[in-house]
Amino acid sequence: MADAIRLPAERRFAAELAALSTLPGVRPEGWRLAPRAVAMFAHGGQVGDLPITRKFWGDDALVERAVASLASDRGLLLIGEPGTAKSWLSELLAAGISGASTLVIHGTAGLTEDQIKYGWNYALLLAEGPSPRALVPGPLYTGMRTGRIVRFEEITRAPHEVSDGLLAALSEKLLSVPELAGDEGLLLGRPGFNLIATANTRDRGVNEMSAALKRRFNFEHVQPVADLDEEIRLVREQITSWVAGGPAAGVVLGEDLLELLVTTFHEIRTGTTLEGVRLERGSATMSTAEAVSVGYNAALHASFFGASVVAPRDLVGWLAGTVVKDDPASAKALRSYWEVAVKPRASAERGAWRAYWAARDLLEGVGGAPKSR
Amino acid sequence: MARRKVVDPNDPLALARAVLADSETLWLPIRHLSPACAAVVGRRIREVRPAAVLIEGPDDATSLIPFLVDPVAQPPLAVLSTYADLKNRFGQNGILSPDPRIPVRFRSWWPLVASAPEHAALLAGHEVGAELAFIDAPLPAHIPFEHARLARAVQGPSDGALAENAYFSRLRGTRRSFGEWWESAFESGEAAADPDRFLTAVLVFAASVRGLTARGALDDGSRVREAHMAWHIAQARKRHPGRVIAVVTGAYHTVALPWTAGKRAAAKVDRNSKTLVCAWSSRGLAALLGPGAAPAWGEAVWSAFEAGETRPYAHAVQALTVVATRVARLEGGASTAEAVAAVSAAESLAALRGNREPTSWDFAEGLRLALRKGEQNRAAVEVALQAARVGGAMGRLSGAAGAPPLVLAWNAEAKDHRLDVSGGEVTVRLDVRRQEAHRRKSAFLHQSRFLELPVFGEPPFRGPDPASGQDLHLLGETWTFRWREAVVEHLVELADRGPTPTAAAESLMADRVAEAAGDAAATATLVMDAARMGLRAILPSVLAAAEEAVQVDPSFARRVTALGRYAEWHAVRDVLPTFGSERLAVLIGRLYLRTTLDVPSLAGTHPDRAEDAVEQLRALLRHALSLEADGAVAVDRRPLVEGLARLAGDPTCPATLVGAALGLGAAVGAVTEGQVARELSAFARIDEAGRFLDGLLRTSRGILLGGSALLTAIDRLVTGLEWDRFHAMLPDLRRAFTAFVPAELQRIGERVAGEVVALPEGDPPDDVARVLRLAATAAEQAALSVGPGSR
Ligand SMILES: Nc1ncnc2c1ncn2[C@@H]1O[C@H](COP(=O)(O)OP(=O)(O)O)[C@@H](O)[C@H]1O
Ligand SMILES: [Mg+2]
Repeated sequence: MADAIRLPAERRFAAELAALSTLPGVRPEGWRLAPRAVAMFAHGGQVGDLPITRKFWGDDALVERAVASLASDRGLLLIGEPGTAKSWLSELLAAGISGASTLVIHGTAGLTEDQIKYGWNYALLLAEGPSPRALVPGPLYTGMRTGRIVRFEEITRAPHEVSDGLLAALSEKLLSVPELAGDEGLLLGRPGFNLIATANTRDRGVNEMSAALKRRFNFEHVQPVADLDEEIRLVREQITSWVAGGPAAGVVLGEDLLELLVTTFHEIRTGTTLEGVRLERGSATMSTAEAVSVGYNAALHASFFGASVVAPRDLVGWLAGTVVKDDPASAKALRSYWEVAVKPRASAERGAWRAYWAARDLLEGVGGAPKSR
Repeated sequence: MARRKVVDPNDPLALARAVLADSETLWLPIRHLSPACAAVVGRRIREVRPAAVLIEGPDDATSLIPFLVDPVAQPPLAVLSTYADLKNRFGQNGILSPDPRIPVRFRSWWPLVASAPEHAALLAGHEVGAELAFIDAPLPAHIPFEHARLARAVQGPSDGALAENAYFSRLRGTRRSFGEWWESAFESGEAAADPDRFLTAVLVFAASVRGLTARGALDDGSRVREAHMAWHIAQARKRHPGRVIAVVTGAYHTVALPWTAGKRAAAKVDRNSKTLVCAWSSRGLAALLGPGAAPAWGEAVWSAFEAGETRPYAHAVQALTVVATRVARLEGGASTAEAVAAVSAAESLAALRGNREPTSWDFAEGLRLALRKGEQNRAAVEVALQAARVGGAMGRLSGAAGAPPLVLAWNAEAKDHRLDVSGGEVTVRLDVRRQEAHRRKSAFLHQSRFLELPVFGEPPFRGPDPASGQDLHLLGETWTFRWREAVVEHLVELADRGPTPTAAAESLMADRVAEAAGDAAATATLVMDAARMGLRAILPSVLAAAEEAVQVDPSFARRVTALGRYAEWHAVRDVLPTFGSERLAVLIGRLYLRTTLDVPSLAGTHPDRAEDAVEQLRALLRHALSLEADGAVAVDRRPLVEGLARLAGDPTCPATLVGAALGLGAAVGAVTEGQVARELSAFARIDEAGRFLDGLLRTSRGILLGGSALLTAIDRLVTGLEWDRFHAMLPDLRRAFTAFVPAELQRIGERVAGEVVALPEGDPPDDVARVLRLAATAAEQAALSVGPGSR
C-alpha cells in the first residue's frame, strides 16, 4: 500500500506523530497525544530535532479551539466556504487524536442510518439470527467501540432524520442495538470517541439542522487564508508536493507566476485589490484549493507540450477554463479584474503582469459571449 | 546617576533584585489596568505603610485626589486632561483636525477603575494615611510623543514600549497580542499568593525590554517624563526624611527611575490646558480602549482577588459567562448546559495553551465556541459577549468634586426647561411658532442634539425639518427626551469647548464651518442648524461661509441641493428665529441665478451621468417655482427657461438631457409639441431617439398623454426603422415608457399597436408590432408589481 495515490495523514506523517507522542501534557482519556501536541501536528512546530511541518495554514487559535473543543463532550462542526481545508483539518485532528482518520461518513442525500451505525450480514443473520458476529459495524459504531474520532463530511447534505440519529451517540455516548439482547444490545462509547463534522456555507444547510443536534456541536468557522504571503507559501508547497514524482516533475512554476496566480485568487475573493480598489465579485469561490489546482494543471499542461516552464498564458487559459467554467457572472468578474487590476500593473511594467495582461484574449468568449446591448 | 549602587543593565535579574532591595523606596511596577498588579500594589502598601504614595498620573491632578478617595466616590472614575491647541503649538492642526483652522483638542484619560493598580494605590495609601500625589508630567509633555506620534487626538493608557519591542516579539510565541501574552504570563493566582515573586518577574521582563531598547528609542518622551517623576520623588523624600516612600509607575519606568536624576519637565500647562476628575463608566472606558476591551473582566477578577479566591480568573470566567448567557437571545435560550460548555471550553483552551488560569481571550473564545451556531446567531453572541466584557458599572463622585461649568450649566438649563433628568423617557411637545419659551427650549434641545449628547430616543425629534425637507407641514416639534447617566461623561469631554451649551455649540459649529468650507449644500445645513440653535453670535460667520460657498462651489448638484434646503427653510421661516433672513434672501437669489446660469454648461455632461443631471434639473425647476410662488425672494423662471432652451439647442448635449430640457420647457409652457416632434426625428436619424424620449418622458409625461402629434411622430419613427436599428433602440424605449402608470401605458400601447397593425403585410413590421406591444405590457407589469392600487 506504500504506493497508494494518497496516504491518510497518520501514515504520511507517522514519524511526526511518533515524535509528538513524546511531548508531555495531560492527555484526555482515549487520546494518543496531549492536546498541545495535536495542535502542533496541524499548525507546525518542533519536537527535539524534528520539525513538525505546518499542514494547516491560517489561524493557530482556530486549531487550538478545535482541539479544546474535541476534549469536551461536544462534537465539533467546521463550517466554511468550499476549499478552505475543513476536511483536511478534520483529517489532521482525527489523525492526531486517535491515530486514525479513516472513520469517515460522507453526507449525501442517499445516506441511510445503517451506513452510519451498523448493518447486518444477511447470510449470517438468516443462519444464526441477530448476533454480534452478524453485525457489520459502521464508522460510528467502530468509533464508539474503539474510542476514536469519527468524521462526518458535509453533514448538512445528509437527510435530517439520519443526522438526528447521532443525537444519542453524541449526548449519552451510547448506541443501542435493539436487535441484540442483554449487554450486547447497548454499545457504550469509549473515551476518545467524538465527532468532527464539516459543512459547506454554500449549502445553506446549517440553519436547517435541528436545534437539538446543533446543541451537541461547537461551531467553528474556517476562513480562507487571510494573509497573501502565507497563501503563496501554502500554494507553493502544495503544488510542489503534487508535482513531485508525477509527469510534471521538472516543470518550473516561477515565483513571479505563483504570485500572479495567488494574488488573482486572493484579490477576487476578498473583493478588493491590494491597493484597495473595489472589485466585482463573481459567484465562483476562488478558494486556495482551486488556486492549487490551476497551478498544478498549468504545470501538467506545460509538460505535455514539452515546455519546462509555465508561462503566464498557461495560467490564464486554466483560469478561464476551470474557474469560470460556464458561469457568465464569473467570466465578467474575471474580465473586469483584468481591466481594473491587471492593466494598471501591466502598464507600470510590473514583470509578469505584462504577459498576464497580454493573454487577456483567452478570457474572451468564455462563460457565454457578452451581450451585444 | 543618583546615589544608588550601579547595576549591570545587562543582568535583568540583578537589576530587579536591586530595585526590590531598596530600603528607602517601595518600587511598585505595574501594567496599567492589570488586576494582578492592583492586588499586589494594594497589599504591599498596606503591609509597608509608606509615608507617601506617588503615582504615575498628571501632577496637575494631585489637588483633586481628595475627591477620588472620598468615601462617597465610586469607581470607575477618571482623570481627564485636555489641551485645546488654539495656537497650533504642536503643529497638528489640520493633521489631527479636519482643517488647519480647527484647533486639535488633545485629551488624555487616566482611568481609575477598581481593578486599576493606580486606583488600588490611592485607596491603600489613603487607608494608611500616606501623602498621595501624581508625579507624571502634565499633558503637554505627552502630546509630542503620544498623540502626535500615534496620530490620535485622544489617548488612553497604553502599554507603549513594554509591548513594542524585540524582546516581546521573541517571547510572544503564538499569542496574538501583548495583552494576551501578558495575561497568560502574569495574570494568575500566584500574583496574590507570592507578591515578591510576581514583582520580580515583572521587573525582570521590564528590565530585559529596556536593556534591549536602542538608546534613540528612549527619546519617546520617557526620558523627560522619568526625569520629571524623579524630581517629584526627590521632593517627596525631602518632605519625609528617613521614611519609606512608595512609587507606583509603569514597569518600564520602574526599572530606570532609581537611577534617574530629577529634572522638572519644561512643557508646562498654560491656560489652554485643563485637568479634572470625573465619574466615569465602564462603557466610557471600553469606548476609549477600543474593540476587545473588557473592563468587566478586570472588575470580576479584582473582586475575586479581594474575596480571597484562589482562582480569581476562573471565577471571572464563570461570572461573565453567566452574564453573557443571560443576555444572549439564543435559539431556545442559552441554557445552563450552554454556560457549562462555555466555561469548560475556556478551561480546556487555557490548559492547551499552558495558561494556569483562563485568560480573557480563552473566555471569549470558549464562549463563542459553545454559543455560536453558525452565521445566524453570530451577532447575538457578539452582543452577549460584548455586554459581558464591558459591564454596566457607573462611577460616582461627590458633588463638590468641581464638575466643569458646562456640566453645571447644562444641568441648570435642563432644569429651567423642566426636562426630567431622572431617566424616564418623556415626550416634549413644543409650539415653536407661537411661544417664545418653547423656542428657547427647542434651541436648547437642538444644541444638545448637535453636541451629540445621548439624551434622545429614536428618532430624537419630529417637526418641520428643513435640513432634510421632512415634515414641513408640522406646526410644532415633538421630542423624545431621555436623560442618561452617560450624558455627564459626554459633557465632561466637551467641557473645554466652553462653559455653556450655547458656547460649546458655537465652538463645535466653528469647526464644522471650517470643515464645510466651499460646500454649498453642507453650509446650507449649518446655516439652518445655527438658526435653530439660536447661535446669534456665530450666525454671521456661518452665513459668510455659506455666501462664499455659493460663489465658489463648482458642483451644480450641490448647489441645487443647497437651493432646495434654503427654499424649504424659507417656507417655514416664521418658525425659526428671523435674524439674518434678509441676508439669506439675497443669498438665495444669488444662488438661484448662479445655478441657472450654469444650466447650458450641462451640455458637457457625460452620457452616463445624464440621468443625474436630469434629476438635478427637475429639482431646480421645482425649487424655482416654489420660490417664485413665495414671492419673498427675487426669483423668476425666465432665466431658467432660457437656460434650458440653450441647453437643448447645444449640438454636443447628450440626447437624454436634450429631451429633459425640452420636457421641462414643455411643463412650463415654453416649448410646443411640434418642437419636440421635430427634435425627435432629428435624434432618430442618429439612433438616439430612445434616449431622447427617456429624458423627455421623465420630465414631462403629460406631453404624450395630451395631444397626438408627438405620438404620431413616435409611431412614424418606429415603423420607419429597420429591424436592427429598432432592436438596438428598444431598451431605451422601454425604459422611457416606465414613466407611465399602467392605465396610461395601456392607452398608449393600444394606440400604438392599433396604428402599427394597420401597416402593410410582411414579417419585420409584424415583429415590430409584437415587440412594441410586448414592451408596453412588460412595462405595465413592472408597474403593476410595485405600484399600489393599480389594476
Ligand atoms: N488553510 C489551508 N491550509 C492548508 N491547506 C489548505 C488551506 N486552504 C486550502 N488548502 C488546500 O485546499 C485543499 C482542499 O481542502 P479541503 O479540506 O478539501 O476543503 P473543504 O473541505 O473545506 O472544501 C487542501 O488539501 C489544501 O491543499
Ligand atoms: Mg470538504
